[in-house]
Amino acid sequence: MDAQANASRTIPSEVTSRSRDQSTVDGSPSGRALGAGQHLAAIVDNSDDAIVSMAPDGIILSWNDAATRMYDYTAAEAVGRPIDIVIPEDAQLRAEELEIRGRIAQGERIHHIETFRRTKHGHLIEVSLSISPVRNASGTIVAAAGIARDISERKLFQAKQHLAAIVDNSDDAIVSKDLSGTILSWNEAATQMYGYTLDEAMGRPIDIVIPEDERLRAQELEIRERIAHGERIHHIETVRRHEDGHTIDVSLSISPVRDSSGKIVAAAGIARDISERNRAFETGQHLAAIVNNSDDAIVSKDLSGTILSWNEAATQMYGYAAEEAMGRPIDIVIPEDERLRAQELEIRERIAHGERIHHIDTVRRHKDGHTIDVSLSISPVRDASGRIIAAAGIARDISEQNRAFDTKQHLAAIVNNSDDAIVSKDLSGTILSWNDAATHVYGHTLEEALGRPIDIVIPEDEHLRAEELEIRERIGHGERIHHMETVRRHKDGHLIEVSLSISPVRDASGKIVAAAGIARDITERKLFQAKQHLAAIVETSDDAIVSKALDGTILSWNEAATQMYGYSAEQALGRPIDIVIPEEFRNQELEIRDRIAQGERIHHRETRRCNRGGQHIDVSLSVSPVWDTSGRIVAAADIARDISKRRQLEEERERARGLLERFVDFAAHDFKTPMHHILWFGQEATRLIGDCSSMESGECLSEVRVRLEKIVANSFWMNNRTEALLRASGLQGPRQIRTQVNAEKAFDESLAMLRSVDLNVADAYVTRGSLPVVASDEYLLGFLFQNLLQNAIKFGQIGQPVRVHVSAVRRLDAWRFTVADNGMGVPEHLREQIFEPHMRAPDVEAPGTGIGLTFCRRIVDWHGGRIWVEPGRKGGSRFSFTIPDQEAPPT
Amino acid sequence: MTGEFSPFVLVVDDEAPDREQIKRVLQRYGVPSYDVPRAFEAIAYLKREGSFADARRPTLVLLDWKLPGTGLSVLRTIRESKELRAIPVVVLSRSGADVDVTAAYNGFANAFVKKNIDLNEFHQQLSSICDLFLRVALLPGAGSQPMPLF
Repeated sequence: MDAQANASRTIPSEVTSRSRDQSTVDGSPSGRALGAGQHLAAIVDNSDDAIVSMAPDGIILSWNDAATRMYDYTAAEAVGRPIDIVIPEDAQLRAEELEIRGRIAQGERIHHIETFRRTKHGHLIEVSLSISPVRNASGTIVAAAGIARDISERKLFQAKQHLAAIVDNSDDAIVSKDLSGTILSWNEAATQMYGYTLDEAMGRPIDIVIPEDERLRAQELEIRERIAHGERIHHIETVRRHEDGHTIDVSLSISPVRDSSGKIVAAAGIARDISERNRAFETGQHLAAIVNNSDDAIVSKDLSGTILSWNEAATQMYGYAAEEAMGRPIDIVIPEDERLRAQELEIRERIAHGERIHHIDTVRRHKDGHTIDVSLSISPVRDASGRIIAAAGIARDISEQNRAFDTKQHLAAIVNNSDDAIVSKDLSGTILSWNDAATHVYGHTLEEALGRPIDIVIPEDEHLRAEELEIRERIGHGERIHHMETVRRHKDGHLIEVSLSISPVRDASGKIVAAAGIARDITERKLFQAKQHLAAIVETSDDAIVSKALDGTILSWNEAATQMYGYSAEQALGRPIDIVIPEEFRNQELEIRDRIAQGERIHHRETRRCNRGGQHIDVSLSVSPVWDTSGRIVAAADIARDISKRRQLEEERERARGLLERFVDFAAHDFKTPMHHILWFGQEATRLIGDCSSMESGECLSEVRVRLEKIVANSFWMNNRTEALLRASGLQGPRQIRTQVNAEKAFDESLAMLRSVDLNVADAYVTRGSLPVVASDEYLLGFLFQNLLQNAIKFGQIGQPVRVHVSAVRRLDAWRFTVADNGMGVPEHLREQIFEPHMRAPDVEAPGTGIGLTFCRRIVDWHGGRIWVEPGRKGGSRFSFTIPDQEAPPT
Repeated sequence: MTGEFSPFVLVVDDEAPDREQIKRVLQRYGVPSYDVPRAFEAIAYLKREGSFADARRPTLVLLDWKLPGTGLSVLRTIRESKELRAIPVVVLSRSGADVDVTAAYNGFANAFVKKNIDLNEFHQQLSSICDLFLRVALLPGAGSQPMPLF
């Protein structure tokens, strides 16, 4: 026991004494058993999984280093306290824990349940938990051993895997590179487009796909510079180069990729081949599913019946340690019954002929003499030349009888339960033990591995072989190797990335006799990191990327989709894709999904989507199938590029240009006429003065005076209009301030001014009621009256004098002004349009003033009022506008 | 209107000073005229509608292009009417924009003249129009003799 306490450093003294009590009950273990116990204790100590054992009442008995790392309690803090310290305070989880303990007490094992645990600091961890009962020599369950693995990362992995599948399946070349231009990821479409395979491209500069053109290289540097500043590059059209030298026209979008801390670490480019549409598509997804389901006793023997291998479950089932059993006849586990011995001989005979024995029910004998009902499967084991050299038997305990355990079985259960490959080897490298997980990870069965050199799992690489020798050297000196990342080889030749911990195994005298290695397959973790990178690309893309099941249910939704469609990911996930498809495009969507289900792809189809508010968006859509690992099409990934913004922008620009043109036209016309007249009157006055000698002096002077007065009137008019236009054009800014304006004065002055320059107005009968003082601007209010008066006169009835009456009535918190005329009236269909800037009906519109009413609306809008037109009661039009009271400024 | 041919001009312009100048030149040529400020009146006049039932048929129309109801609608009315389409129409405008010039000729205007900003030049332009359409050119119904000089 001293040796055990020595090896299992984290088990404090009181537990050691508990173990000692148990070992006293067990009887005196042999030195060999002690050695095996020590061997397994070293393994537990080394494990990256939190391994904790507890008494039936939940009191913690042992606590390894990994448990300390996971839960933050040290062994000293945890041992002796209830297991509840790591169980969240949740009624359901506490009930689950009690139920587990109940099942353990009944002798059940719990395999890989996913649940939650709590750290010392209250932080929740998702774990995969396996628990097995620990029995003493008399078969009584004295404890439960739990192995917990943190799977928070794995859960995240599954989510990211989906996004990664989208990148992998995309038909746009998606390539990421670090900020120095080194390629970090490369999808299948990139290989299709550029010719380089993933292996050829990774780690090389992005320049391999950029033509040797100074301008393009400079562009690339500029792009990386902009990405480094967090900018995004949208759909630039540029040129790329294929491996064989030909160039490809591409539309390129590049976005920054940030790490979890938000730092920009890479640039992700999505290139769409716009020169060539048809690309051959190949998919070669291959998954080898390896299922390891052996809690069964696995024993191999040669054809004469000598035991060649003996796994931990065999030890548990038959009571013999491997050391005890190996080399002895198989008869040690067969009851001394003539019939059963004959059956065994018959089985070996059949195996020698290459037969397999499936699930025969028979009886075996425990070391202590009790019999065990087993279901037995036996298969021949062949050497490399195909010769049958042994028989491998898998026995499953089907009896309800209990099997005997001794204290070291506690740890043996743990090793057997581990999901990490646990292999021990002597210092010359010969494999001494091999657990189920090792078979799972490396492909070699226990029978195949035992006794063979550890080199069977080491790639034939000089460097790695040298590393292994160095490790054994260090172990020989008592060192431990912690979590070293290296590469191992599967039986079928494929390489596995592993995290490896190795510790020395000492015999009773303390001499190092072996090395125990715990290897965790981190290929998945590496894959995870790669997939995480791809997932980041989807998340940061500025194309809306959405995947949906074949029935249309939304499965993933990136940030750009949220921007485009207005639904957050939470709102969209699980709902039908129809929420973003206008009704008239639903059939097209069904047809697309149908084609996707057949493995087809949809390239850059221009179609329409709708956002949450029901507005339509023109998009260029690419859809590709998403395959699961078994090669089945399970979803469709939509990549939608918003082209409506581009269109809308063009239209807006067009409208703005139109508006500007019309403003200029209006201003020019408004000024040109009075300017001409000023000039003409000036010329006439000059000529009259020259002719004065031939006229009566009074007549000459009065003729000249008339011209000069007109020049003055037109000059005033132009000044007034200039002021009003300047103020009107600045209405959207905060510059203009409302003041108290006497509307009567503003009206009378603007009418007088209009009359002095426009004889048509002079001929009209214009009257007004009493008008109020309002919060306004005198020039703008005058402009409003002038425009409405001119309008009334332009559209007066033929052959009738124009009559205009202006009045104002008090409304709740505004004044309503009405300009009523006896004119032609405004046809119903134009009553709204005449205030719109785009209105241009040449047969109805007056020259250059099509925009006049648009200015009127803008002025009224600035007041916070409303302008409209309605037919008069006796014909004609009634233009009305409101001027709300100005709110008192906040005090 | 008698069978006897005598020139008569319809002036369509919304600006009173412009109408005034045009009338002055026409008076120098001794040609009577009628003026209306808007397209609506011009059309009613030409179609002899309402108070224009007895309106005299013009032998020349001087048509401002930018005026209420638009010059184009007056031009169309003339060219679309069997009775009126032979009447020469000279378009006058402050704008010389090609879009206006083209639209006028597409509507079968006989000439397009941009009103000169200089009053003397403007008079000269009007004199040229009168010379051509009232003296040099033969108009339908005028017989073989153009109008004699003064």
